[in-house]
Amino acid sequence: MRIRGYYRQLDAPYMRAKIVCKQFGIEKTVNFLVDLGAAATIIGPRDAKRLRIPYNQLKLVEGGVSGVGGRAETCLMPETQLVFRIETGNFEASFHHLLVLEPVAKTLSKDERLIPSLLGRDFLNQMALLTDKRQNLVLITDEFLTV
Amino acid sequence: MKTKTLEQKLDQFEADTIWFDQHYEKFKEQYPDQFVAVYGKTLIDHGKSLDALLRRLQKKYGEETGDIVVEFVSREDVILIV
Repeated sequence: MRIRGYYRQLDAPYMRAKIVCKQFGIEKTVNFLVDLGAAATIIGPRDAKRLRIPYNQLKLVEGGVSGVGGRAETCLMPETQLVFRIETGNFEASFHHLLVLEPVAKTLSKDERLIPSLLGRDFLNQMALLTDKRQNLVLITDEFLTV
Repeated sequence: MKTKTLEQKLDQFEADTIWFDQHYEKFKEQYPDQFVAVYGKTLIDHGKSLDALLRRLQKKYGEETGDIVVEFVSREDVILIV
């Protein structure tokens, strides 16, 4: 199975996936920055608004989540699937809980507007990740690659 | 109208994202510090308020809103380290 991504602005590797959370009737497509520096996959504030996530119905992560920009309030979205495009159709990855960054105020700050959703190690470490900007190649596969 | 498959929707989302990136410099001049919405390789709406933009998209496109690329166009060049 192979999931192909693409390079975007600032030469950053991205993957797109459909986020499905039946409990809250969410089914929307999101671009994820492929980020081995992120311990977990997380929905950024701009995408969270697009998804219309009902924060008041979600559990908060105690102590929040820390990143380069500091500590942020983070919620847990239950029983969520990310559906990726593969050669033969689609591949579904299930998350018991998916992290969601909560905007500080109703209107997003300038920084929050720019923060992407991240595809983190909780997903990436189950697969092999191959990137090569020279060939515009971003690939996640369950194959065992040998070098 | 023929309903798109999930694969077709994901392919279109990728194509629209790449189209947005290709036109980013033009959008910076035309819509600085605004959110823009791209669908079918066309800019379909823009505005300073994300909430207002999403409301308009929902009203006009209904369920299809979930497959519309919505991005922020920053006036300044920002190096993002996450």
